[in-house]
Amino acid sequence: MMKALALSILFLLLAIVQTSFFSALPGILAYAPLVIAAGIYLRQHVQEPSGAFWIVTFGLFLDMLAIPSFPLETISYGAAAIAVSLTSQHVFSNRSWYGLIACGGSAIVAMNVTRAVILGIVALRHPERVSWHAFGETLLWNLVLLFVFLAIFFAFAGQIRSFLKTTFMISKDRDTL
Amino acid sequence: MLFPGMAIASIVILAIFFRGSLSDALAFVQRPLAAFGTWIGNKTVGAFDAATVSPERVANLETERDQVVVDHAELERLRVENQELRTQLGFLDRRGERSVACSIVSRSIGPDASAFVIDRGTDDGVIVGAPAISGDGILVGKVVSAYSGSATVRVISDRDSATAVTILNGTRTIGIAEGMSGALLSLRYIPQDERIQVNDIVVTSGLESNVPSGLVVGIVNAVTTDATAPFQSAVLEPLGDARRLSVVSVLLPESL
Repeated sequence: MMKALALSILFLLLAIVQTSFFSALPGILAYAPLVIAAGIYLRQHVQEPSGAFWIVTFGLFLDMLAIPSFPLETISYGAAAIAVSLTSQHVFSNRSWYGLIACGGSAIVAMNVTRAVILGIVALRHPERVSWHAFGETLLWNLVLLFVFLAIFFAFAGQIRSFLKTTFMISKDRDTL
Repeated sequence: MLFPGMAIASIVILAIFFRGSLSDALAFVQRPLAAFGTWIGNKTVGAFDAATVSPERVANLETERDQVVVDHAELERLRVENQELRTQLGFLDRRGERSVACSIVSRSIGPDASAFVIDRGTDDGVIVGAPAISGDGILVGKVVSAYSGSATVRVISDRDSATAVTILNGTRTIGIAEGMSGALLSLRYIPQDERIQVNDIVVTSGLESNVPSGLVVGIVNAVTTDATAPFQSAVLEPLGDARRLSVVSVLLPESL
């Protein structure tokens, strides 16, 4: 229970930082996908299943607060969470930088393919409500900034692992990195 | 393996459901973060814009600025005249608008932020449909959901937003301004005999429940006319930019 509580508090903090701070920044910085990057890192590199739940819960968080960038974000983030779980478990190694990047890339691709399908359905009835330009721009900058975040997390892997152990988010005897 | 994840989802969902009680505590953290982000945005916006502003655009902007100054002088004269007339007729007493000041605590992700969360809710008199304005009376958006301690505002340029407006031209053209891509608004199905010009000022018409007339929405940016079509359309540029704001005012229902 302690672990779940600590992971929940950290999730809420990251979600608040993303929706309150990063979303107010100018230019491409407003696209910064902090929560999804942290979720991918947690699931892929730390091998903690809660990372995938962070991702899908963040979609739910956006939908419930009525601040999604695209319709039905829970479904899109859910697709990303599934992609992260499957690729981190069966496809990519958690020990390499390339494995982490590939896992992150697959999550963004899964999320945006789902978004594109949802937008396509919306566009069938209300084409004026869909901006494919905004979709493409979001995809590009999400991908770039995700890689930046993952690079930073990877560079501080040791400190992150110590932090997660100290705050009961992973067990003390675990050393999967 | 699934337990921590399910527990996280449950705790977060419970937190969102009971957001009325939690919002004050969260706003304590969110308010300074959002204000800090907005401050950085306002301080650095020139740096981001500099590379994209061409000399032609600067010249156009200067021309527009001159036009605005002229308009402003005329408006100022009308404002004084209007104030005198309203005083005489006692309008101010009848339209004493009450509002509540709110801090923006969260926004949707991306530069075209189309919705934001404020730290005031139904406990403070905020209702769904109430307009959110910036300090100088410019319409920014409308409340789409309200809880006890927080509410979500959708900006007028969102693709799902529609606002009843009047163009301050000779014929006071009315219509529905809808959000479109690029943070602009579109005004469609305007009869061909209406005379609309670029830089005409657009305000709320008051034909929409909960939104009073006369709130500034934006200016006409472009007019598309086809002689063979029964209607013309206009592109509006909203004056309220939610990304540059950390505080808005919501007009309370008693005053509407």
